[in-house]
Amino acid sequence: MQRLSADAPPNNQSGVSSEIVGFTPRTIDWNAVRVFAEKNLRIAMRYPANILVWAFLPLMWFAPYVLMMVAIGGGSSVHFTEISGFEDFIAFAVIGWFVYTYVDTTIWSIGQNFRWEQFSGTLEPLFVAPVPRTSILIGAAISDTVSTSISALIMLGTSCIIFGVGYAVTAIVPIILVLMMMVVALFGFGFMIAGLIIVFKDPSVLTELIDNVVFALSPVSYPIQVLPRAAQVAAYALPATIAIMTIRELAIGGAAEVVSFLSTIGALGLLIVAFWVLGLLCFRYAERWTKKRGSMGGF
Amino acid sequence: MNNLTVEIDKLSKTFVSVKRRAVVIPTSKKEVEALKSVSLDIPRGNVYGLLGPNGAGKTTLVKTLATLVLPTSGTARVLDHDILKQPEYVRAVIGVCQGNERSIYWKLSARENLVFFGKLYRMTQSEAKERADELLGMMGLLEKADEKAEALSHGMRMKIVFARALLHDPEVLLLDEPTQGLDPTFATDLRNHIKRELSHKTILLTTHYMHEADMLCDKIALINEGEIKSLGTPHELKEDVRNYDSLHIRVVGIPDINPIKAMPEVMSASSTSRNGHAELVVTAQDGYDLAHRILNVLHEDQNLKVEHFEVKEPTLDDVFLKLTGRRIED
Amino acid sequence: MTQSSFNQELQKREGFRSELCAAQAIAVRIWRVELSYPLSVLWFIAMPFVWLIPMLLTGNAVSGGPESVNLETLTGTSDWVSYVAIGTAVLGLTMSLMWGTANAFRREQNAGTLETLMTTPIKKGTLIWGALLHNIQHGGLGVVLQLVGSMLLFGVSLNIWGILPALAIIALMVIGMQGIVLTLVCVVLLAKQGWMVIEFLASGLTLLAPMAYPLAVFPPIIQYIATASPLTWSVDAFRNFLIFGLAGPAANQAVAALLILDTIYLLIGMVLFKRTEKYVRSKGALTQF
Repeated sequence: MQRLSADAPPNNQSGVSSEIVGFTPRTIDWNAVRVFAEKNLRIAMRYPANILVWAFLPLMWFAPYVLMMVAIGGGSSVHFTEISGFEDFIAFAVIGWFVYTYVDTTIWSIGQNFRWEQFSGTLEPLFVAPVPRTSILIGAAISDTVSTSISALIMLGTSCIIFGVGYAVTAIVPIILVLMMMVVALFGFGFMIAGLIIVFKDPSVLTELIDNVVFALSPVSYPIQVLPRAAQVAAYALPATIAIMTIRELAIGGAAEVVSFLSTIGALGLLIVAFWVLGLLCFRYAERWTKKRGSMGGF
Repeated sequence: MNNLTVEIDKLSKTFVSVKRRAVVIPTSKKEVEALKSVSLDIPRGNVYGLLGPNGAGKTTLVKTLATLVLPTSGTARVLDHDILKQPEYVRAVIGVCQGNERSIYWKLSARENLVFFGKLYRMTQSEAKERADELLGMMGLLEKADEKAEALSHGMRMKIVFARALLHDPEVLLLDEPTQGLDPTFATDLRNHIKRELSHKTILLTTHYMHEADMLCDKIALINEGEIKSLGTPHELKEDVRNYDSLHIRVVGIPDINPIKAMPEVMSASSTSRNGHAELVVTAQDGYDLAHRILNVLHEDQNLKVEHFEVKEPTLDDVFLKLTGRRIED
Repeated sequence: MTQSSFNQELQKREGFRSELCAAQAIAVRIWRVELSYPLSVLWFIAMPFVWLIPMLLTGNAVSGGPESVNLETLTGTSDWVSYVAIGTAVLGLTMSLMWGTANAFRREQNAGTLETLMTTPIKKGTLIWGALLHNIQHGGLGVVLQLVGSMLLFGVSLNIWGILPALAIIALMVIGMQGIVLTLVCVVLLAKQGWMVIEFLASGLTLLAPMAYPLAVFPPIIQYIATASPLTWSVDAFRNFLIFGLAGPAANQAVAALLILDTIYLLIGMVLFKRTEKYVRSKGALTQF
């Protein structure tokens, strides 16, 4: 507490002030990202039941799809194999849902993070801290990705047992690579949603709408070929579509063509850049928009 | 029907909180006695105040009368309706105003809020609308009647909350800290309204503002740790401390008040400091005689500059202090 | 309007009618609040379709056309689009009932208005009945929207002779679900994370109800468990009436099962609610539960 003693010089030459003098605002403060992610994970670990809940609830949501496929198609479907290239539509759907869990988390949690901080009464202290809000968003996104991974893996394991499906683990490294790139691209997508939420202030309905539209466009339980032409184009512009298709190919077939794999990586790289630029711009614009109207408090 | 509107009979409330491990296994049990055999009768048309610090049991008493909390033992009657046996009847004759602007719907307009609640009090649409407009007019809010509550100021929202309590023209009003957090103008408006327009009502008012209790109440119950310590008119209560004076001293610097507290005539001494200045309040018997000695302690012994010195009449806070050893605003 | 006589006049108006008026006022108030969020209106209209479309796309991917031989073997109808569209129409209503009504207390608490409502002379249950009334209106409109939309967009055809009996089935379903919802209200009142229980139960009942598939796709033990849910019988009977009309299979059995289940669930729900509400008041925890 030397720095606060009465003997300390009262001007900027002192130790305490040098931090302030050296302070320059950053676009993203990675230290804050880490601190915020750690804080969120620490809180998440205090509620281990939540992670289990999120492992089993999605199972109950996608089981109706699988059961419906069984009721309509019986054990197998020639039509499905023709359009998708896969024989087992249950294995097809389960891996689709596994990857989509990350999309679901991005849509629900990143956008709503500020809302949760507000409910716990910590939003104002966070907003007055000299930390860019994007760092808070990224921190939340990282911690959510970690807890989602645990839930999603439990869900995948349980689904394999219940529905009797199995996947090749030979291509695990490329699967992880594609999954990680998709998650990073999704962060950018999440920033866009966060921006929309601070403008519309109606998070549950807005996220519900976005989630359902993205879900309908994503090839989760059906191949992209069943969508109308325009919807297919829109689907490819989503960060998860290419990743779901590639991961499915790797997990069911155990391998992928080198050229097609590399083009996937290239496309995901482009999507990352596009979504981060768009997402950050959108969030900043939204923040300025609400500040101008003084409606941040209401949110 | 007797002349007593509210009869509180040995009302006790103990809150028990149990800490559990793994949801079911109790590990520790904590009991808090919020009300300890409280008895109080309020005659028709009187305003009674409950004065006490935070956590004294005021809100628990109001909530128990409003049938929101079940007592552990004892009961109360409001217009001869028992709060335990006939809670619906009690709710029909009381109006409750809790000093919380969140107790109305912010997405509805002032009028919509009042019409909605009016219907819950069994009014028809036209009756509710007529009554809403009457009250909004009384509160000076008719022009804002169709604006959503979220667009109104805090004071205006509190006026709607207050109007809501008056909607069904109840005989008994329970006002729990009605002016808390209000800006002084609105608070004065509301007090004047209670004084002028509601003089025929039976009112139980909780507050920790002494001047509010002094101004509005026919009788005041001083409540501390769930017990009513004294009941009387403001004048009667102050009788107890008639021989006491309240010395208010402002000094530059931070005084040591222990030597003052040690003086046998001193009932209490407290000090609050801000920006290098301290405000001392000393309550003592025959304060004028003691003033010289206290000033000496501050000026001579502690070398502090005395900026201001004043001897005041004792307040309800001093009465409370004498009875409980703590101040209301502690 | 003399002062005290007005209050006395209001006091005389007790009884079922006044509770019904209060419940209707609550239902209207929830509508007003909902409609004040423009996105909610959009969601209300879009919801039935954004849920249905992925199901239809999935079904189409498997069947390759409007007919399914496998479904015909299991249910007697090969028109899987009608089967799924009519079965899932009840989903929105179920969700409205389970979420909207069970959370009636929590929503008021979050808004800060719960205690104020509790100081009015309405019966405690009226708050739930009001929310229920709203959710029947809200969910019911959703059912109509989905069915009409399905007829216009996806060529679903309804048997008009089955409409009235289907409505009666919905009424029986609402009664049984209300018993379950009252139990859920108790969970919400007692447990901080009551939403988890609602989520599990709502998802579980939806999964067991044969909305998009017949019970036959389940293992026998799960088929047996599913018969304990009023939703299972309701969905099946509702769809059978709308597809086959009055000649639908096992209609009497469904009605009898629903009557028995409704009685059991409603009784359990009411007893639990009464006890829980008293317990919460004795804890003085109305604002903090």
